[in-house]
Order: sequence, then structure tokens, then C-alpha cells
Amino acid sequence: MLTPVAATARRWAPNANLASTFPPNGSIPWERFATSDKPLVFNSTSYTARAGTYSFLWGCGYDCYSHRTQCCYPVAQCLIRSGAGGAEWASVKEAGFEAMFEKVLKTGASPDTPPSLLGLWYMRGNIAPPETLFALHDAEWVKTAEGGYIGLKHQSYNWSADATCWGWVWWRFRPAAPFRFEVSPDGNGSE
Amino acid sequence: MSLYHVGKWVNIAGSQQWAYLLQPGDRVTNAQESDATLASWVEESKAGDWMRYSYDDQAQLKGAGGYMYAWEKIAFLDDEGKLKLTPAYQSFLVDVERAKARRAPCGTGCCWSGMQATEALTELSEVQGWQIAPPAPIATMERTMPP
Repeated sequence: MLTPVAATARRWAPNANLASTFPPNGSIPWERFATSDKPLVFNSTSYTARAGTYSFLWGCGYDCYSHRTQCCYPVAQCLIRSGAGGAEWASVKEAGFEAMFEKVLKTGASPDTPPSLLGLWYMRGNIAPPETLFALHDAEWVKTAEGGYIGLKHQSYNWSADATCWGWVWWRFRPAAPFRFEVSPDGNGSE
Repeated sequence: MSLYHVGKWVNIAGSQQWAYLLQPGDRVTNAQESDATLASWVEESKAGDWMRYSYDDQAQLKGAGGYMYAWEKIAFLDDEGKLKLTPAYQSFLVDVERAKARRAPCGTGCCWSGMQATEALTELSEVQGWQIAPPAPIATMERTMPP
């Protein structure tokens, strides 16, 4: 269901050089993975080892990177309070925080958004700041002939950043080219 | 042929970054230490949440994950266009409010284990910044579709 486009919303600006960013025949060979009916087991050994590496860098230096870093905190607060860069900031301790969810979700949705990706998502356990919350309904989605989906999503929009110096810098200077999302076919495609 | 995996994977950026739509029975293991927090990602996740996971062997989706976290739906619009918050929103609030008891003096984290670092590094900023935008125009996809 399409929802009204917010009057104050900014127009999406895709990168003009996508052809060099994404291979023209880059579809995933999904048939390779349709072979198991067993529950999946995710091994977190490497993940916690990586977190330990971050811990070493953090502990022996200074926390300039985490979701809650205090590095150059006054500068971050100045940038945030001045509205520099055009971002809107909201605190969980204020009523406007959940209202921001509604603004994000009511930007309007691509008609071909995969139903399984509708909504606002929390990257729970993501140790790589400053990304925290994101939406995918605003990506440029198309259905594939096999019943899958391909979408282009720009992280600059409807994708939150921490209120830290790193968060502001990341948000302001993140790569211009959008991410390409490819959802596996549902088995009910037209071919 | 089983279609267990059909419609349940997302590939991100044509790279080793994957997300998987969690199913009953899926679980997290850690061969090195007790890992209740990570396991809870799966146990507490409702159907419809995703596990973002990177495999060592991305061509076969095998091997240990170099990186992982969950995508949990915290809000959506109902059929009448009203905002609805999910139970996962409470997980988000907990991670915002979580005490920093494990943090060593001077804001450092010397001598943490990987699990302690994971817990500390997933404490969240209580302020989030957004740039709101409508959906992208359907103008660039032709160059990214498979032939």
C-alpha cells in the first residue's frame, strides 16, 4: 500500500555511476542454496574474536569509535544541535523519538518492496557503529522473473546514525553509491 | 528438492554480506565460551526477524561467520497506517539504557574478553540522527538487473 509522500522529505538522489559499482550480471545463483531443510546454526566464534580485537584497540587507546564514544563530544553536540548537514536528531528520552519512526515509515513505499522487509529494523548486536536503525521500503525495488527482488538503497536516507562525532562524519560523508540488496526467489516466479 | 531456503536470503552489495530470515530451530553456537547474549538473538527473535551473517566461504555459505548481528523489526504501520511498536522495541530500549558497569577506568576496555566487548560495544547512543526521504525513482535499475 502506498502512503503519502512527506511534504518535507528530500528527493532521493541515486549515484549516476552505478554501472561501475554493480556488475551487470550480478544475480546470485540461488539454486545453489536450495538444498537443505535443516535448521541453520550460526557460529559466533569469529564474531566474538573480532569484538575482542576492537576491545584491545579500545582499551589500549581511546574510545573514538563505539556507539557511545565521548570522543570530541562537544563538537558532535554542536554539529547536532545546529542541524549541520540536514539531519534530524531525536532522543529516546523525548516524545519525538517514536514520532520519527512514523515519519520514516510514511515516506511512501516502493510498490515492489518485499513484504518480509517492510517496517523499521534495529541492528541488534551490531558492534560497528554508527548504524543502528534502518528501513528498506524506500529502496528502488523490482521483482525478478524468478520471484526474487533486487533493490537499491542509499544509506543516507531513512538510516539512522549515532549522535557522536564518528556518527556525524559517517553520516555526512558516507559513500554516494547505494547498496544493492538481492532477495532470493520465493519459488513462485513467472518462469 | 527442498525449498527450505527459498525466499529467505538477502545478499547485500554483491559481497559476502548475507541476511537470513530466521526459522524455528535455528540457533547460534560459540565454541569458545558461554554465549547467552548471542544465542538470545535467535531465541528471542520472532518469525520475521533476520540474521545478518558473513561466511568464510561465501560461495557455499559455509564456515564460521566473520560478522553477525540481527535485524529485528521494532515498528511498522498497520493496515490503517497507524504506527505499531513491536516487543523488539523493548530490546532496543534495553540496549540504550544498559549500564556500562564493565567499562574499565578512563573509559577504556582493557582486558575484556570478546564477549564482554560484544556486550559493551552494543550499548547504543540514545540520540539517533535521520535524513528522511521518499522512495527512489525507478530510473537506475535497468543497469543493475541480470540479463
